[in-house]
Amino acid sequence: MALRIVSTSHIKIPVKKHLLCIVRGVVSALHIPGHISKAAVSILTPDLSHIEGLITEDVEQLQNNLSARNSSFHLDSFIRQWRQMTALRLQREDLEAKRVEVTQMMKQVVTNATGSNHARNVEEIKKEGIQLRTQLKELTKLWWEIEEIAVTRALSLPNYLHCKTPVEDNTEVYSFNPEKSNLNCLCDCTEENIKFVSHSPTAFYLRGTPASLELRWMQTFSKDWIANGYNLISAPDFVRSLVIDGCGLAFNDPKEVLSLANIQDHGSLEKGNGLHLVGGSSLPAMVAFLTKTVIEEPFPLRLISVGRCYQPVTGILGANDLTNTVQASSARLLTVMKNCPDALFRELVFIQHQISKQLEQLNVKFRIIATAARNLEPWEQYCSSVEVYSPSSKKFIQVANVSIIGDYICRRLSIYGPHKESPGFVTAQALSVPKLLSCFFI
Amino acid sequence: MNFRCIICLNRITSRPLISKNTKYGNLFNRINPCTSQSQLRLNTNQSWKPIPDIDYLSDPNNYEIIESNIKSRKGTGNIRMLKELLTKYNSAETQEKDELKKKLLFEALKIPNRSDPRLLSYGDTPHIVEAPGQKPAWSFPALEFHTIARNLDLLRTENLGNLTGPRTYYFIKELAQLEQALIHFTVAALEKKGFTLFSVPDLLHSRLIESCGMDTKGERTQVYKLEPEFYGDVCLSGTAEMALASYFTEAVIPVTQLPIKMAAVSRCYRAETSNVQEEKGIYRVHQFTKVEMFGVTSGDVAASDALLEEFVAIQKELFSSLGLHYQLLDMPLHELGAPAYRKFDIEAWMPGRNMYGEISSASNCTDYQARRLNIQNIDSSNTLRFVHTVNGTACAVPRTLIALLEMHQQSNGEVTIPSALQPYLDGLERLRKPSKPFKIKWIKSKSPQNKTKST
Repeated sequence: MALRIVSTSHIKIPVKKHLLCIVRGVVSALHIPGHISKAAVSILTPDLSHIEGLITEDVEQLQNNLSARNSSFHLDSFIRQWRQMTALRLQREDLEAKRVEVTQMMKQVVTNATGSNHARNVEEIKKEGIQLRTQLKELTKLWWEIEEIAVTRALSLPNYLHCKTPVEDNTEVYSFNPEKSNLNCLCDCTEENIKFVSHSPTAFYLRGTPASLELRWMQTFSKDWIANGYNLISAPDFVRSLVIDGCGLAFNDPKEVLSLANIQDHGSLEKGNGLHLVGGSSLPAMVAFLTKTVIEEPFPLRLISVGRCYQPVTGILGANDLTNTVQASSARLLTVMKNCPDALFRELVFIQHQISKQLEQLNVKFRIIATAARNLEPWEQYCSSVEVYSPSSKKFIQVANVSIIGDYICRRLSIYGPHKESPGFVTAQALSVPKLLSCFFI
Repeated sequence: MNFRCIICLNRITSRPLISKNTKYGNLFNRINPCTSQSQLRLNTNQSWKPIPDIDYLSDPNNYEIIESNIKSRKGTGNIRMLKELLTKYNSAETQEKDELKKKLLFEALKIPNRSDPRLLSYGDTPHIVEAPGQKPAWSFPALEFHTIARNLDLLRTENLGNLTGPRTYYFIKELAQLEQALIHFTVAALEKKGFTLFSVPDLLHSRLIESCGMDTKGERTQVYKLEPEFYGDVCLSGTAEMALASYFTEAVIPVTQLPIKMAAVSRCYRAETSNVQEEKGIYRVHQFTKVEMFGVTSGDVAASDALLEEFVAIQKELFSSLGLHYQLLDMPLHELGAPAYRKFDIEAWMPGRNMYGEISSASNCTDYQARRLNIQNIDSSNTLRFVHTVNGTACAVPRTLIALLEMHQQSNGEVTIPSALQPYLDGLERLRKPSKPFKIKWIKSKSPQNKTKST
């Protein structure tokens, strides 16, 4: 989750700290700090129990991870803030324990209301109690501020790197070059049948053959996956900011995820429970199904969703490019399984193999690339990019991808396996129709 | 006047449409576009001008019927205000006319479509045209859709408000497959009947949506929007009808190509809420999949009426082949909304709810949308005329599923699949209780359940 400048006008704080908030600019939908807990919605607590180990025993590994990803995360300052937060929390717990002691002393003194010093004792204990309450209040306020910084920065740490992730460069792991490419068979992919319009950013129509292909590919590809043991689900297209943040995306960055305008009774971005348009075949929509649950059976659980996927445009708007559209029909897979690096990699290889078979049946030239660490998303441990060759643009276009996530999302969104452990995720966008269609332009 | 067409660069002569009422005819002059190249051009900008039927609206002989129409439809629009503005325009100085013209256009566009004269006798109740099929007579109590689906481990609607928003749902396993089967079955049927399949954008600028008769700005708007500060004017479409109509914005279609029949599968987004008990569950939701029929005919009521009848016949055929009992209703004036000249609804019997529920609608919008989107046809004598548009639901998935599961439920809780859908489900004949249901348990507590270190 990148640092950015965001409005924090919903947080009532003095001006000088408001400036600090602007510079700091990190606000999380997963962690609602104590001083705004009444103004915002929080239904879960992300599991950050691994952070302590990460910054003590595994700090070198963490540093290597950040370097490999070319991350701008400033580790030293984070470690200082985390330790400061921990120290304050311990102080607070001490003060709280003392306050409880004093309260009990007061009860005893009041009960044994005898002796000449009774009134003086009550007065002294009362004074001590008030002092402790004041100290606790001030310390709590300070702790909340530091906690907000430390926890939101902890949540912005990227995922571990899988041992098989190439560090230096993208690496080709597979390629397929048919004797005779199938690309010429779709002569109906002309400008009349694939038409960009100005009805909204990157809006386009498919007419006739490309529209039929869209439907047929979705049907065929999903049936293949169901035959391979995947369970079809039909998911909603909206998710809350909490789920977006849980997936490691910046929920209030308009370049990363589409946000809906506030609507009465539907929540708001300011409260951390806004709604985002992601599409039923997106990762957040599938993850929402499992958020705050214990998955007992089946395990591993394999899910597939087909439908819309919506995302902000990257790059130049108005380029009339099917590889860069706000709206796409797609198929998304999600496997929930034991969080073991080798098993996760085997699952990835299996998915890769099935996608390869589907593309080989289409008889198109394609390759599979293992993505280098610096090109990974923060939530990915490993990613394979499946790229089909496009003769019209003379380059390879990514039409599918498979990623190992591990337990990164599960820890953030309270998702547990049968034994209350954090399971691992492997996910894939198994098909993106506009991107695959773009490879059929002649 | 001669000038060069900005689209094909050919020289053309302007031929304004002269109104019968010549006083106001030049209010809305249009220039005939060129005809030498492709006749079907798509809109590339948002600067087109709507052309209301000023001739009709400004004729004093029509005021009474227009006013009565507005009142019967319980709609917006004020013909008296329009009349006043026309009078003012007539007597205004040149410098005042521009501003008055804008107000005139605004008021004229608020007036709803005309109504089919046959509807005047209906009063406030729909007219039942026919009711094929029969209500089932079972010896067991009919279960409601949610109970059936949950018992079969096919549906989730609980604990989703804080994750995916209000009134959201997940179809699981065979129910999700049934959704896909319905879509493919419906599309296959439409393609056999000469419909061209389209894939449409779900996001549209507000002007396109309003041109189809849906308000995007009022407090009670049903339209979702993207955050305008970030994305500008982008709305989520409530039906593929809007995108299909918008496909022809500012188009000039040769009359020989008409009628055009289009079909599209899209996600539909509607912010409308309901506290009515009968509409609980997935009966009224904010997001759903729909297969839509859309048609364009020449600007002749006989042609658009004929296409409307064809759409209704297709709906009847589809629902009958799914084994549904339904009633076909010719809707009264106050149910038409602004754009429809005539509307038919089909309500399927839902035994679990003990009621008929609307599963489809079909409307003839005559030239209402065409005038707002500037869609015209051109004949062999180069005469332009606004087209008529017709739309109809071929399959609205959630309500069709409600009707299907409730109508085909068995005494043991299983559901038989209509034979028409079985080929799309690899021959699956019944929805049965799963031998290995999902065991995915919701966690009520906010705290983490474990503290294990990540590997």
